[in-house]
Amino acid sequence: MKKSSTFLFCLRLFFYFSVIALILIHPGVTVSFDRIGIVQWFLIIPLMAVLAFIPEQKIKRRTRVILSSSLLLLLSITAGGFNFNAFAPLAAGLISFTLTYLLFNRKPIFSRLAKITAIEPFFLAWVGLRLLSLSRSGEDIAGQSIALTQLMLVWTAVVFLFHNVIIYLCLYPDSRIKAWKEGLVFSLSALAVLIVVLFVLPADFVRNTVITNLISERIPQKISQSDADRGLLQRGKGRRTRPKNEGKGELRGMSEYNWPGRGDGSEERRQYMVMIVASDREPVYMGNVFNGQLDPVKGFLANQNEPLNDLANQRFFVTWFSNDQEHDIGRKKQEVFSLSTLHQKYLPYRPIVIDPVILSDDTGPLRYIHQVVSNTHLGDPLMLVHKSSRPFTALEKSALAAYLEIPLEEDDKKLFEEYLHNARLMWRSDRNEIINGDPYLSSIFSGQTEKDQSVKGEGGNEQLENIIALLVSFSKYQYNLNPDDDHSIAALKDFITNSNEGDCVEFSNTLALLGRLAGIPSRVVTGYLAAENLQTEAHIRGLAILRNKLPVLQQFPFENLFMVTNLHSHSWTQFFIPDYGWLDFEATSFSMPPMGMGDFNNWDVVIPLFDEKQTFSNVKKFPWRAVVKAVINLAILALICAYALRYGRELILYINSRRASRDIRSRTRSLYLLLLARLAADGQPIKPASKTATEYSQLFRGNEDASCFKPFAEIYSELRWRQFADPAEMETRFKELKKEYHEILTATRRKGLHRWFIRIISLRGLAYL
Amino acid sequence: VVLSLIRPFTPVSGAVLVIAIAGLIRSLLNRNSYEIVLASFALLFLLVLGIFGAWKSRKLKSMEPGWKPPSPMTANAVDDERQRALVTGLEAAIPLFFRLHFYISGRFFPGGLGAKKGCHLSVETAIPRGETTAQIPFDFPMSGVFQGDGFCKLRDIFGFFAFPCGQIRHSTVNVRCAPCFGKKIIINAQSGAEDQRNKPSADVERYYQREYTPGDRLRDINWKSSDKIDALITRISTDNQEKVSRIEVHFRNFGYANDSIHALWLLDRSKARLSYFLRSLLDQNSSFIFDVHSSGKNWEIEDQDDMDAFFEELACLSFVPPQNEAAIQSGAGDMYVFSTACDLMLPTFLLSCNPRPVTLFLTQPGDSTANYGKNMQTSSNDSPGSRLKKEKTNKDNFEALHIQDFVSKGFYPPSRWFIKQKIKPLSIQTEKIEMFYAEIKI
Repeated sequence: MKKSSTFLFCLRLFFYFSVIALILIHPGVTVSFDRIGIVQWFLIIPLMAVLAFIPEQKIKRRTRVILSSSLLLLLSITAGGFNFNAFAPLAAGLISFTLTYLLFNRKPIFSRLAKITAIEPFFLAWVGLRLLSLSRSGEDIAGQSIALTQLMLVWTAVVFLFHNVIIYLCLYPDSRIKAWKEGLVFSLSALAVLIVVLFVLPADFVRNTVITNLISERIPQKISQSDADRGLLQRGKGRRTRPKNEGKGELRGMSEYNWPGRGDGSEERRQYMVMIVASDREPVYMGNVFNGQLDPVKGFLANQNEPLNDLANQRFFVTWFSNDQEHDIGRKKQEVFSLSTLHQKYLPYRPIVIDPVILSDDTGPLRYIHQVVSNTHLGDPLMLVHKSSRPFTALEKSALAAYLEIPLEEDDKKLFEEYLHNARLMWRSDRNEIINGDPYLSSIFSGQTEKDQSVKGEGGNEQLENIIALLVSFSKYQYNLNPDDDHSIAALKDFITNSNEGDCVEFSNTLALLGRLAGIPSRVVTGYLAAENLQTEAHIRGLAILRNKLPVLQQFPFENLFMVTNLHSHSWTQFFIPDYGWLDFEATSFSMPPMGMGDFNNWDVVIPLFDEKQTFSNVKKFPWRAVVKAVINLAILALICAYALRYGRELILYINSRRASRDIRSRTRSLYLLLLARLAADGQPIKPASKTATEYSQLFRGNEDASCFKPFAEIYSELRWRQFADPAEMETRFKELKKEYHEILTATRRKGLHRWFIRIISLRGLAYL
Repeated sequence: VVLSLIRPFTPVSGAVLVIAIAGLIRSLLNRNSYEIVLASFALLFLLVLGIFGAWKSRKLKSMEPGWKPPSPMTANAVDDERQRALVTGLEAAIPLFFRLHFYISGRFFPGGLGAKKGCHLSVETAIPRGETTAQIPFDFPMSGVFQGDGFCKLRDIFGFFAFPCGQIRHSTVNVRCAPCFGKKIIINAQSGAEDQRNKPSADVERYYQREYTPGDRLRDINWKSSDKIDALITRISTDNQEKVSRIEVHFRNFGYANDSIHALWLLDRSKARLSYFLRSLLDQNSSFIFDVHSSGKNWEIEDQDDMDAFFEELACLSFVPPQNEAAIQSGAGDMYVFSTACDLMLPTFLLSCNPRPVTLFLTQPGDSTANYGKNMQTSSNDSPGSRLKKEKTNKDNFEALHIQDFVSKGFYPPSRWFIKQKIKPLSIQTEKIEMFYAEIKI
């Protein structure tokens, strides 16, 4: 019964690991576990289970409680620190310990409580289902998950049923007799089902509505006014009374099946919808790449060690929470929901909660639902010009050193410094005229009364003054769409000295560079901009139609919805302002606006048109590569576990045989088991469980190394069973046993390099588990 | 019909069914293929397992499983074998992935059927495939009466279904109190409790003597009596030389607290004390005859068979309301009274016994420190040290009932048992008194 309990426990642990390991190999989960997750799922839970499983006879209750609780606390705090993050591993460890204890320590008092362990299979099945749903998180993921998905489908069912059987056998130990037959039948049936599923289910059955864009570009149809009027808000009501931007573009629609994806549409002067953003504040700068590393030739490049860049590209299994404390002033939580055609995340700075990407079936090409909560800065960052500034602290300087580096060629640097100097000079000399001549600046500096005077008295906000000076200096530069995203230093030089024309890329990169020269840490962010003044009438009509069609959008007020098209792809500058952190600055604020068709607001807006019909892909091919990959991964994992078990066990036995604090009988037993394991690894016969040590020595006799085991067996039997009146005699016999142990190993050791290699890799010793 | 369809489902299969149906509906609406596959598989699996189990349980409908509790059934049996009931008549072929489960379910009335509601007991065992007999845990923490049914269910090893099968066997079991052990009781046979049967005067000479038979020693011959009756007679008696003693015992199961586990536990311990008293005295001297008086019933116990029968009845004795008892018959010899702290009429009873010597065995609640030694008769000569020692001894000799024992033995103790009810200790005076403390640990 004891052996069967151990077997059931190992089986239970195996099923747990098999499901958790699937997360590791699943292509839809790029970063499966963070540090806390690894400790929690791979260390705390199994460890607590093992501690709870150890029988009452081998460990005192008090020792078990002290050992488990101290280890649990230590590991939880190590993983999560002294804060709320330690709670999850703590709770997981407690649950693991409790459930295992209830299941395997069959005290009558717990027999009824043990039935709550029935929740375990549901948890594992939930993980399986969750992974299956993640297989549909994108066309590429669905493609990579082929075969693994079928395997997971069967494995989820098998784990659920088999785990139920384990719990049943633990709850009713009498029913274990002859249960191996049922286990065999069940395993074979599961294998048969797996094979059938692999062959019968289409390879990409999980892809469902994920669309393959086989049809090339179609001309979108015009959407007449009457179609859109139904959902469009009546003018004069609510925040969105009329479009801020009177574009001349028309609204067009295209069947969801023909949706071209992320085309730029520049040739046809059309902008294609990329996402619909819902937020109660605007503008929403949603960054995907944070470029903080300045290259002397290539300009601003993405930082290799910037966590935000990793975060934007990670696929989460569970909701991600930021562990960082909020130090910046003026930030407020902003919930941003987006229904997107893109699986990549676009994050308003600074994200604090990110939900896993949800694949939506009913929203056509807008099939990815992203939800982010960020602590964004409230209001226009230029308004901070009224706040007094302070110099950077030493800590800030060292932390932001990478964002202050200017590794430019001497000539280049000189050029940009000259530009900066001129801009400052111009701002200082004509400050009042510029402010009075620009309504936007007037509104910013309108509060410059007595308070402003006092600010001035303290030196003012030097950094913001510099930023405004630079922004104002761009007022002579023409904004024009430029398909070329070249942001090299040469391009920037050409922008400020020669062409004086560019789009957000040139403006933002130049601003960031000049900012650095002015001593302000800066970086360039690329992503999308959702703003009210980018919404033309065509956008709003499209929003109204889509909101009317998609129930998921109806939960948000219409004025909180913003349509983002491929032309809203944007690049802007972030400056680090002391006390306020990284703030988004619009580099094109003061540039000359585009004219005519150069203004993309005059381009047609294309939205997808939905159809109730669905198509299922009929691609049938057996994904051998993915199957082999999955099998190999599982096999490697199993092998690693087996070797860890072998060497871990041998180490524990060795330590136990050496520990003077243990009684000699248990040391003898440890030494004996260690010897058997090592002999087995060397190819010696395996001792049947029914044979005693002496009987095994007779078995050994058939071998050429025969006689050497007998003395060991005799001393072992004596030490194990004889009552010694004199402890010193027992100690002497134990020393003799150790001597015999070494002699046996020396005598039976087979020579040769290949034998040595076999001894290292052999797993035969596991037969004695 | 609906109930019979729902009954075989376990919580696990219920959850699976609900999730599978919800998943199927959702997946059909969303056209989610893997959910359709999984939900359909779950429903199909449940359906197949359910149909197969229902068919098999119908085939096993005529099976007549029997269950036999250990005899005699004693609470808190030390021996593992005696904590189990034997289940027989399980000759049936059980298919793969299924097991036969035997259940004993019923109501246990601690302290006898007088207890108002009792508490529910349900124990279960799984029978390995191919076995025709099995053992099921069946033990009680205190004396009383158990009325319950033994029945079978066919369960699958996935924990999804439990189909009732076979005949239900009802049974009533009297549970004797768990034994208690104390100091050895010695009763002097020369006391007033000796046999008072009158002997005819003509037989006086023959009493304790018998006629000579060849082989008897000459010195045993009573020459004087032989001369009188004109026949050789020896001093060898055919009767036992020891005097037959009749011992009067009063078991006072008076009280109102029929539903209080604290009171019932006192009664149980009092019963245990009485059992020990009777058994130890009978072991000492088989010639003792006990006249046991309880509320409205009397027993005369002469031998082991009488005692066994008495113990069976004692197990069912519960509290009865206090009543005006008839005056104690005048007689010689000691009286032994067993009572509990619930017996409010005990002082009156003891007064009515005067002047007969009374030994009182009183079972008191032992969880109040204030009670220790409070009612214990101590002489004024006792030193404080010896008094403390006495109190400590009494503390150590507690007999405690652990409510967790009910749970571990398969009971569902009612919540009212967890609320402590105070039992007033009595103020009593008697010549000899032995206090026993019993407490409840929750």
